[in-house]
Amino acid sequence: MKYPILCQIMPPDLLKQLLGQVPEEEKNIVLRTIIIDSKMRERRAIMGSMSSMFPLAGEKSICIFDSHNTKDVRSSTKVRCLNDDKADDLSANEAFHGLDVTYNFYENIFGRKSIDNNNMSIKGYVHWGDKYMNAFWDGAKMCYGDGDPNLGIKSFTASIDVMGHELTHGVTQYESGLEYWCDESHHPGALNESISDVFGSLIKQYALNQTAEQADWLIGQIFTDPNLALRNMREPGTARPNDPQPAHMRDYVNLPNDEDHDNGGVHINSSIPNKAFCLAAIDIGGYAWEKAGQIWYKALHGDIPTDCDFHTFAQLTLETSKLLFGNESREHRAVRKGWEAVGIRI
Amino acid sequence: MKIYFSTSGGLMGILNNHVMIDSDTFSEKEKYQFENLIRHSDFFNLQSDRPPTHGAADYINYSISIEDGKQKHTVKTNDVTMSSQLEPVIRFLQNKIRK
Ligand SMILES: [Zn+2]
Repeated sequence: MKYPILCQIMPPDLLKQLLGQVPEEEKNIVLRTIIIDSKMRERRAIMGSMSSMFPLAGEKSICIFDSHNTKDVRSSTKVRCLNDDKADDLSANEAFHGLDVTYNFYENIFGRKSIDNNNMSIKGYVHWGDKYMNAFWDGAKMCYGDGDPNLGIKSFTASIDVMGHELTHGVTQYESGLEYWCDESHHPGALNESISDVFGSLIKQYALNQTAEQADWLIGQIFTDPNLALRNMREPGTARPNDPQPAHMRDYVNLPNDEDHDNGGVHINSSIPNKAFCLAAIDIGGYAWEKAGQIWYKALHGDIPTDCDFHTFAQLTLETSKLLFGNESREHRAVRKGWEAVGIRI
Repeated sequence: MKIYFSTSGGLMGILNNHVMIDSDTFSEKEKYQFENLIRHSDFFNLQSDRPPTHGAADYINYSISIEDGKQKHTVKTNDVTMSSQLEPVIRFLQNKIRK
């Protein structure tokens, strides 16, 4: 069933009435559609007032589907779900493992139950498209292409941080209203991308039991050449030949905010907050998810403007570090230093 | 027929990846296939697909412009809301570029 975007102007009573007519399994979809454009504070208020209408959180649920090199969900077949034996397919097993670790990471470290914190079923589609060289989150599921080894690109399931990156886009969708674009003075899309890189990298470090110092801080080792990656969070611009990512605000890449330029370079300038996080985590020391990760996760739950800029988000992380660890604590100072190192003074 | 095909975005953050293909360079079989696809999709009357809804990320944006005699038409789409008419056209062009 398709639901219109009726939206933010609808009175709560009418909303409740509409939701009452919707089948249980579709309530989440309709609510998400309705609140799409509302501000974060309004979204949380709507969610809170509607919570009694939703079933209690179910069990953990992960399913992997094989799209048989099409882009058609209807002809895709289920290949491995939770508690099933391994599938006879490497991509399906890699995707299952990556999403399982990601679920466990969010639950064990942040007490979060799945993408929506209400045990929304996690769905991953492998062998998506014909030699499709990408992975994406469509608002409800993740799709992974096989890449093309002849062009030096492996399956996008080969990199656990890519699994974590895509699922985190779902978490960001539920926790913030960050929009997906950038311009010279607004950076919501680059922040959205950076949050996915940050938690994608933390998930890889968690799986490998690495401290911040031990971690390689690489995102997307999907190339057949093991020395290459999509992004390097510690040293942006060095992950691969012609890596366009800047390491400092003075090198911010100002692109037109349109569909031909990666929505204003959301995957380009994300390196600036990426490096700030990485430096703060290394400065704090130990496992990055224990302190720096906690600060960023809590900041994501703050009042982030939908068109947030780097400076506003930096302030939010600084305030959160003070709240969690104290004024002028090691963590508080490390966060400030991290942002200053990339040219953002707070 | 002149075909301008561009892609942008995706997890890799592709920028400005433009290709111009002249259908005169197609084999007879390819020409037949492509003309069929354009006819079946009613390309010159197709509207662009709507942008993805809030939350979607890392999808690739596609733009196809075709010039055929006096006709010229541009259609934009993306991985999330791509229509079933456009999907085979995109698949054909991507295979053609890969060759
Ligand atoms: Zn992303």
